[in-house]
Amino acid sequence: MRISSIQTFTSGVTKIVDLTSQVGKTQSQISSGTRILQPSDDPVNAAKVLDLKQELESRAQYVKDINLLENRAKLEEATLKSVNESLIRVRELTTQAGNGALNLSDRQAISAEVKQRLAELKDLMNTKDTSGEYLFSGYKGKTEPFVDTGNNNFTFAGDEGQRRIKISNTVSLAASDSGKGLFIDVPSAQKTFRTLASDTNTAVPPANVSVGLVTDQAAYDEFYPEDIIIEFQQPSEMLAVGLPATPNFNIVSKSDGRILKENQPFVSGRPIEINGMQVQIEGSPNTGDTFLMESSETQGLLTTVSRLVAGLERLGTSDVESEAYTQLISDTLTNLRSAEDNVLETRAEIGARLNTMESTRNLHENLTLVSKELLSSIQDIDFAEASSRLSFESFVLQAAQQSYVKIASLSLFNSLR
Amino acid sequence: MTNSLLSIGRTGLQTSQSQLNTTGNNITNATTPGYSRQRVDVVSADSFQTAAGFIGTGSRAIDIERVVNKFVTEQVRISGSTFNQLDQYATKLSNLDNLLANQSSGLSTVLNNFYSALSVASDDPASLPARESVLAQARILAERFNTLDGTMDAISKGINDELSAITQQINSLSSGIAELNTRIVESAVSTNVQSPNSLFDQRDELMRQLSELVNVSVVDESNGSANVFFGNGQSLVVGDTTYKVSAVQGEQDPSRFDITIKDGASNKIITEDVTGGKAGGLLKYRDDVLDPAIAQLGQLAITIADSVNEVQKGGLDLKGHYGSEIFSDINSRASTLDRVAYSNSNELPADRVISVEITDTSQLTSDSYEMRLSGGAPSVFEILDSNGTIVKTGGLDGVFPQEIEFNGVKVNLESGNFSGGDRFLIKPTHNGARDIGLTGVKADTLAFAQPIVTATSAGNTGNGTVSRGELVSAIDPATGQRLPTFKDEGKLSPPLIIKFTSATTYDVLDNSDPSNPKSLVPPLENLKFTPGVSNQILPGNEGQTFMVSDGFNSGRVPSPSEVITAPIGTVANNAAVEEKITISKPLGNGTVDTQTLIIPAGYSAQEAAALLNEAQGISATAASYTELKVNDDGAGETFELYLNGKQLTLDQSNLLGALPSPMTNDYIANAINADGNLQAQGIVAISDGKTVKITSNLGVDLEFQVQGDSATDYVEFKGKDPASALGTVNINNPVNLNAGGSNSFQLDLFDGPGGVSHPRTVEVEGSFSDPKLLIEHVQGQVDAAFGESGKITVAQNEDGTIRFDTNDFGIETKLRVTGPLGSDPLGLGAAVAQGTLPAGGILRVDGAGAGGNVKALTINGDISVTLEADYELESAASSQGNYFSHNSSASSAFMGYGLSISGNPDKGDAFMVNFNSDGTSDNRNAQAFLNLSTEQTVGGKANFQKAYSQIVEAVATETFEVKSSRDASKVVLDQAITQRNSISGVNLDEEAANLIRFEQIYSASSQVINISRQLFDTILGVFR
Repeated sequence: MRISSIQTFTSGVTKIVDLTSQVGKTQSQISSGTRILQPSDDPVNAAKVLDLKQELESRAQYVKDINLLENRAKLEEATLKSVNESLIRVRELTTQAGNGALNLSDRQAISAEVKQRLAELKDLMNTKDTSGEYLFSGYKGKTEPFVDTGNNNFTFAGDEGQRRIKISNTVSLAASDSGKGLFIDVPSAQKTFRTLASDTNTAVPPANVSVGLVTDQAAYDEFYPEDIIIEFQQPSEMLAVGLPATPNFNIVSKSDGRILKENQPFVSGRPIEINGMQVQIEGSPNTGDTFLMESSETQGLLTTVSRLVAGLERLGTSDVESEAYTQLISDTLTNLRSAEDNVLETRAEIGARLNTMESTRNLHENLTLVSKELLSSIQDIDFAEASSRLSFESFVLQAAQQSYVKIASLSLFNSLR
Repeated sequence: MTNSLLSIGRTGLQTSQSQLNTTGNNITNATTPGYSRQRVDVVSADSFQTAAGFIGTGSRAIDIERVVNKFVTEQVRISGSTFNQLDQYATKLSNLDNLLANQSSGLSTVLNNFYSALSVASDDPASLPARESVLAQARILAERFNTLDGTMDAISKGINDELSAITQQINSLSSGIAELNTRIVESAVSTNVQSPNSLFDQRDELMRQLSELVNVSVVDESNGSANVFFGNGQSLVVGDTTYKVSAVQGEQDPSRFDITIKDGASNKIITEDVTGGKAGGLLKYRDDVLDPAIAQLGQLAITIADSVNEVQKGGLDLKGHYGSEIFSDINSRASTLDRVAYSNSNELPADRVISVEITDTSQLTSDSYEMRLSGGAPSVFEILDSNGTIVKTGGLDGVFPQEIEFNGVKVNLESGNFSGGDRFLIKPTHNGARDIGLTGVKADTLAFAQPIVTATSAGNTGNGTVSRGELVSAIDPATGQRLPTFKDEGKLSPPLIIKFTSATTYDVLDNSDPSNPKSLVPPLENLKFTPGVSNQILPGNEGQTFMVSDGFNSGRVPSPSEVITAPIGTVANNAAVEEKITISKPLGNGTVDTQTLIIPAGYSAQEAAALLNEAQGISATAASYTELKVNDDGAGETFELYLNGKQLTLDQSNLLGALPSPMTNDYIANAINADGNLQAQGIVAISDGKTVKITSNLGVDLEFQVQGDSATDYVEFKGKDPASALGTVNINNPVNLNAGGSNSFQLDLFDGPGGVSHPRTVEVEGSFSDPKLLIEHVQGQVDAAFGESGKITVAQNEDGTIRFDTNDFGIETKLRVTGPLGSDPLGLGAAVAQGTLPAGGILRVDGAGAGGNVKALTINGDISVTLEADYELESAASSQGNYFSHNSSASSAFMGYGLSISGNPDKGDAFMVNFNSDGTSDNRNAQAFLNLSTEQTVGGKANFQKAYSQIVEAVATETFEVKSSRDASKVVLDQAITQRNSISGVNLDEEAANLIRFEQIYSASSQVINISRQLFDTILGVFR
């Protein structure tokens, strides 16, 4: 085939240019370490690379989540351990108090230490985590969960929310436990009740209601499960029964509105007895203020200890009171045991969660290794192969350049003088 | 002889001179682009005859021709066109590929970072730094979208500029070709002008350059000029005339340039015909890759903004307020207007205003649509997608605004003159990536908590557990407004309390006032609970509907006339009459699935509910209720009260304490609660000393008997509020009313105490073919006669009879219908109806006096019905209804969230649903944000990451393919060039050899002349 001179030059140059760009590309691959410089170099694998990278990212994030969760769980576990220890001590004190040979001043001494333990327990139950949120408040992280409404009557101001955190695509774990399940819903030895001042009470400062005591369990058992409302009426109501107008209240059965005791004169701090229950109301309630005594089969931990204190301080040595006292001691021991069991149950759950975290983290780490290997095999360059390719291509380029020079110098005109 | 020898030598000189010149020409033009080597055609000159034979006269150069192969030249042109198109396309694609996929300029890293930040914040929702970080990443994400869009937009504008430049080049090339055409034609005529070989070469070269820009075809004419055409016959150069091309703003879409050609006076758009070459490559890139990529990126941006905003609006921020949007509204006014391009060819005045909203991102596609109007007023519109498929058609109704919805998009025609021939381009997602931005919310307004929190009452004795509350949606998808449950800040409307009335039934009540829970509307009471499994308490969607029977005979206290005096043990009938119930469900294809059942007369609510439960799509429970007060005078006949056969006033001192005299309400209540039989019927009594409230959660009839002195021993019964619409008269012969001409009848309504008659005459005029029109007419006449509407309602029963209803319900109320005074041409007789309920709804039942008889009455219950999605219940009860009435309707109780309870709750257990106030540790909504990463939100088919990687993959794959094609076409082009060069290219060695050859010929020819001169000198020497 006839070759024109232009052809000789242009084809030679084109080839050299092509070879140069190939060498350049190989050199880019080597210096960047990846085989795929642009997705269009290998679209299918480029897509896989994107997917793998995303997976690696999400696993790394999950591992971070697990670490955070683990810290929190360990903090909770440690707190609950301290609570248990405190409970054990209170139990010891209770047993001591059950000794029939004690007199009133001995009981006072024991009561003093129990009160300290009570305060300690309350603090533990109001522990905050490292971000400054309360551990046991449920969703209300900035609200102190266990609050003394006056007179050692504790209410739970949090909620039952449980925060969950995803630690893998399929597993999410609880990150907290609500104080309600842990410390309030403790099965009680006997049927008992809890006391509450209504939210709609208008007295300022609010009158408070004591934690109350069951003084006659048999009488109370008969009345159970009815709830009682203590309603404060107009002082003028007393005039109807021929008494001077003073603050007074009715005791009403909650479910059917039946009035159990009417027009009872009110004295702040004086015990109110009804159907085997005893409470005190302190302060100056307004007309319309109500206080609820709600029957319950559970008794909160703090309530148990608080009632122990009340019993130690108030119950005397009369026959009736001694009987009540003995009952109180025995019930308190049972209730403390139940509380410990409750706490232990949650601790076991936390332990299980920690195990799950551990194994999930291991899984993530193993799978990350696998993905990294796969990613590397797809996208990383094989340096040995690339280097040898580079040297081959350079060699070819050199040969092309030299042969070009050679051929270019061939011309008949050189021989024409 | 010598003469001829000289001239022969001379021709040789001349010929070899030409050849030498031509060779020199070839050598010096060896590198001229487009040059084809030239060759001298030499022939021998004529020979003339002599005695010795024919003697030649030397050689003659007759022509200098180019060595070309037209076919090969054309090959070069065509493959050059193809190659340049692919090259341009590939280069642009490669840039786009890099832009999208690069770690630092692409989107996937930024998306991942956004999710990481969300994950960290979800672990610690109250932490402000974590929230700030989420906002920062969101900002980066939005900015990245903006940057990508900006870059791609700049590329698009760049294409416009390049097209302008190319058209200018085309124009100058075609003028060049036209001029060459002129000169070539001229030179063919005149023989004095230099051979047009170089002109041909130049013209070929220009055409080759032209085909690099755009695909053209060339046709030669006989006079030597060449005509150039675009792909399908559009002329570019004809002889010496050129047609100018230009790149102008697109008619449909001003942001994309079109190519036009000047055809006569007007400019014709030829963008579709421009293929091949750089121009073709640019256009293909713009239409097939760039625009779709911009639209897809826009769709992704819009979907992200919309989904994130939706989740945000359904949650609570750190302060307990509902979240406000993080990303700016995808349907802001400016954006909605920007999504439409108005064609320049639309008739003036250009006053049309169209806005386009995006209503459903799950149905949204990245497609663009064209809307065409045709026809006169009113015009008909057609909406086509980019493939030309018709997506929607319809008529313009001329009333503004008119909304047209399709594929998740809503087009609002707001105002202006729309007429046939108008065209609009709708690009819903094109600007999505440009417009995405942050609204500027602060970190504490990120909504990581959800509004609902559930609580278990402390007094619960069973072990039921309630779920956390699964928020389905806080926004009504149809209106975009918050659902009623969430309309107020800081509280649920209403908060709920779920009370278990037994281990298997529960009520859901409005707990706005915790001391006084009320019924909801519709009431969700006496619902069935299955212990041990998870029960869905609240409907999770709008499908389920609820109602409580509200017919006249449902749960009503009897009228005094229904109280019978009979021996002990006689049971009075309850008021229920036979009732036909139809349960229907439309089946989508136009048919309706119907179930019919008949509630027999006298059925208790319990039996009726059991009957309803046998049907499909419906579940029913029954409950009965009454309040009573006993009044015992304590003397005379002994006061006794019986309920369902149990003597409540019996002396059971061991169980109930001393029998009080007079009888007390408390004792009655205790007696009821102590009886095992009554308990088995679900009957419970509550007394506060003054009233006894008796309920049966099974819905049994409450059958009472009262014994005692007449008038001084009595019991007062009160039911729930009485139903309305009870005085009813049925007219049996409506034909008479329709007899034509003028007829009248008399309506007597004895309203008011003492039953004073107020007769009114009602005229009926004309005859009516449609019974509905008759009813309307009569109603109108009745209203006129009474002077007010609503006093008496006229309607038609199923059996064709006409009924008149009054809403007065005192016992004294009477409604009488008669013919005109003194005559009865309509044959109405005197139909009379009487109101039946005791005033105020309280029934007083006296003792039956001496003689051992009792007064007996029976109070029946109500039925609560739950209907599954699409099911409807209708009652064919005549007149004012039985358990159900004509007006009974079920409504949805969907509150926007679902709730379930499982386990074994006890009677009396309660669960509350409250607003999540102070819920700063709640991360449920943060989890919802995270779940967005796995949900298939983009077009309903892909999650965010996947959607982006699909865009990248599409570009990458196309780039890869085009690069291969380009490489292949390069080879083809190179081969064509090689072939052309092989034929027409100058080979310097060959020319060098030719030089030597022609020089020898020249030398030889000059020797011939020399010899001829010597010969002449020899002849001259003879003569000296």
